[in-house]
Amino acid sequence: MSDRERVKRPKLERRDPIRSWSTLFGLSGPSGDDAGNGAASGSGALQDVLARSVDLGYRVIDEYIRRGQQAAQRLNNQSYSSTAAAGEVQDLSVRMAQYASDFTAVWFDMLQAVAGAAARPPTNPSYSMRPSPTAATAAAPATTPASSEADDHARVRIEVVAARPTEVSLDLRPQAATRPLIVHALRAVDPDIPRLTDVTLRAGSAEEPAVLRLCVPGDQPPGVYNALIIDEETSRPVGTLSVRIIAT
Amino acid sequence: MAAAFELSRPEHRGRYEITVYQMGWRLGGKGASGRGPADRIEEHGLHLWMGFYENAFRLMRECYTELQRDPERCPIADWRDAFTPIPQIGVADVTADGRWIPWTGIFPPTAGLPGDPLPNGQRWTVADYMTRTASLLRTLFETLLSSETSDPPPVAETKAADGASSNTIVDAAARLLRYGELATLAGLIEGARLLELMVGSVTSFEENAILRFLDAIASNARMALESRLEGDPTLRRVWQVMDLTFATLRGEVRFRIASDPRGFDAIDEYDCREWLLLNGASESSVNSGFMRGLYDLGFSYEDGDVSRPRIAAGQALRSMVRSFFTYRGAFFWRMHAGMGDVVFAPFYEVLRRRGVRFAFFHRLESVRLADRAHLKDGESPYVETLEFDVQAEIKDGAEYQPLVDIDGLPCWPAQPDYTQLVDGQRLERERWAFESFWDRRKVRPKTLRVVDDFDFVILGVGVGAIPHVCKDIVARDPRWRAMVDHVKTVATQAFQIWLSEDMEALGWPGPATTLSGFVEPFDTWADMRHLLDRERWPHRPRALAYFCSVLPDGAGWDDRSCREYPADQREHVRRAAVQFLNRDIAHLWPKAVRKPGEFRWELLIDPTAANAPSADVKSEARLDSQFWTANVNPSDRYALSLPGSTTYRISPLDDTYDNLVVAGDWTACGFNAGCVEAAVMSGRLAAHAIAQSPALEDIVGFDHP
Repeated sequence: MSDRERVKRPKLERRDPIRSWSTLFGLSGPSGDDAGNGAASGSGALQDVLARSVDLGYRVIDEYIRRGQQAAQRLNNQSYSSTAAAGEVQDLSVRMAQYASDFTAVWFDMLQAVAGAAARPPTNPSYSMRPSPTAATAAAPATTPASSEADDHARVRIEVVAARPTEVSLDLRPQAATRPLIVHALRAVDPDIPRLTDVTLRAGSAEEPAVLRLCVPGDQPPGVYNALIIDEETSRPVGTLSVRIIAT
Repeated sequence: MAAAFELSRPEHRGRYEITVYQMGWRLGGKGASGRGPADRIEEHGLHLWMGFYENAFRLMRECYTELQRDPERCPIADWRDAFTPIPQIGVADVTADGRWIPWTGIFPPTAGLPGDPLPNGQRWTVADYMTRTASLLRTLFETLLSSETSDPPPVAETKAADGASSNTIVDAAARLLRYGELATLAGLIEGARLLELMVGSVTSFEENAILRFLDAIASNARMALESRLEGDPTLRRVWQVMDLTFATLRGEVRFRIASDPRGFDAIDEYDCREWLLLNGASESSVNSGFMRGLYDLGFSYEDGDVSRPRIAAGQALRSMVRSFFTYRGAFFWRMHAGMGDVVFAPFYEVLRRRGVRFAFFHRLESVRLADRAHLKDGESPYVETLEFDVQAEIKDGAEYQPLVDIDGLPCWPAQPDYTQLVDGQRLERERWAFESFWDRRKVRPKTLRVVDDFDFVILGVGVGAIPHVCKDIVARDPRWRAMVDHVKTVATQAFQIWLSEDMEALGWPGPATTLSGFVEPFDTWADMRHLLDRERWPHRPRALAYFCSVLPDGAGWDDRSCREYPADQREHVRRAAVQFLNRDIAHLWPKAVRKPGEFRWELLIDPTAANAPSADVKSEARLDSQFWTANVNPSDRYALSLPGSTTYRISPLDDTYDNLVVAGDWTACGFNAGCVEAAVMSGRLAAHAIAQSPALEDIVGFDHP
């Protein structure tokens, strides 16, 4: 070997790839990756997301029901008299109602998540369970109080006055039952169908459950009606109410 | 080549004197190709470039720009002459009754071209990918809705009335139910839109709410689709992709990949299919043609055993998100000549112009470290000597000229030019196999010494060769030992056939296709008809097809004394090709067989035949005129990304040995999969280790989840 000094390699600043920018910048958890994301970075943007979500959610539900109605209308126009056809129509109705109900719950999961995000600063993600949907079916003609305690945070008694079988689905955020709540009139997709206006929701307390009272007029057309439940103080949605009036 | 290209850039002002030592007569390793009889292109296998190969395309484009070929004289003067988008790709699915049905599609072109400058500060995040995945989901739903909307005839067309048959009424009712399902799909589309909103800021939301949301959408979709999946193969395939997408999103949330400092590496202990199953994917989805195609493209079968598909989930996801969401121009790009002609000949020419020297016919035998006792205090271990076998001397001490001119295009021949070699006639007569691991003949040994002959070593051999050429290091260093134990490789096999009838006449209509997920032993087929323009046949073939797959290891695969092993494996490939053409090809080319189990061997064109293609030879002996290969040399073996193995890879930036830098697609280069892009990234990292250039931020995709 010659007397020349062996050439050494330079010292490198780093040897590994940066896999997570949030780690690099020391932002623990959720907000790092989304520092520039409008949905997470400002209340204004969040409100926008919320507004869009509400709008989209209603569009989904409306679309379900509108298409179902169209299908039923077309079937009626064909003057089917077969019992087989009637059975199919019944199946179709049930399916459409089920789809609407399912998707309402799905949509509300999203809505709750967005509202939850708006209500708190971005921190480490934590798990929390929302109460199970509360449901009651009233048989006519009676007033049927039904109490549900989905968990300690959402105790609601449902009182329904209806002339026909009526299915009520209530979906409420945790601890919302003790807040001052407003429930809007329930609406069907078709704007020509009258709304269900006789509905109230009284806040509960540590001792008493919240009480939902609903009165269904005898001439109310069968179908699915939906409404948002709003926290009176924050004006944020905290739940949904879905009512299905079954034809007899 | 990438490292040499970086270190020889004019910006370095000739600071680095570079010599490339190459076994045999051609560059390229696994990517090498040669021109055989009729100047036909003979490859190691099928090589495609993906649209996200940003580093590879960038260097390739710079190379062609610097080359400044004359388009009047050279048919491939510009990189756009060299690469064109692949119009159609596909996977094959097997039906319950054993038939193989191709499923082809076209990925839409995207803005920009691979290798174009990226926006400053470009960053990829898991959250961003999740948003894009959700968007993909929506596109799939919309695809379904579109087909549904156009499919059912208007109900009014059915004149059902009193007295109508019950079948008519039921049919009409069934259509109405499809409207109901259509309404569901419409709802799901909106659901997917909401999903985009949610995962766009996933880390801000309660994860269980997201998971429930995904589950609800998935269950709705299943309800709408399952009843029709059995009778509708197209719908079933779309659903399988959707199911896999749901599972991916669900898994990314469950495993908190978005906030994990390891990025996708966090799930590299899992096999990809296993991880998808864990996250709710169905068995049929993870065994679908789509998934098999992904495994096939990466030869992801441990020990070449197709019953053992395995790939690290994190790297698989990284590959998928890069492939689907970051491709530019086209999803796949194909080369318009052999890979050697399109890639390595231009690099060779540019590097020669820059003053890089090439020492062909040098087989590396040993990398030896300096004796520990000779190290000074605080001095890192280093390589002291490199031992080569010189396989042939060049006449008159001249420089070997490796390229041949074919219609103006510099190409690599499939055989060395013996006329340039000392005693060349004897070497040819004795059939010296210069690229064979098992042929150890040499004309003399040669030893290079640190300081006297080199300062730095960039070790660019395949990882399969490491145990043989780095015995010293592997014996002393537990990390290297663990690397060679865990970063496993697999042999591959390929064959090419030239046919006298075009694809339509063989029963495959439509554009040229690249298809994976097909039946073993050759799961991947590519229609390479575009290469016929580059070859010089006395009677031009009408079709050209490449097939490839893994090759199971036989006894003696790593035993250098087992000299008959390469020939045995080559014969194994030939027999597999015969069986495949007789038994399986009819699934794709129904008119290529005379009857079930009997391939029309007369379709194959013999390049050495002086006359027009003859129908006389109808036996499988005709295959002998075609090209096939068993890639069993250790350095030719494909590096796998097995679950739990990526952590054992060693980075080109590792400085354990002061003057030794590793390079290749088997290193920890940020994209830990066997491909051209990984090899180029690794080469650029190797250059950075020595010259601190290029900047790590300039190596696209190195900093990536």
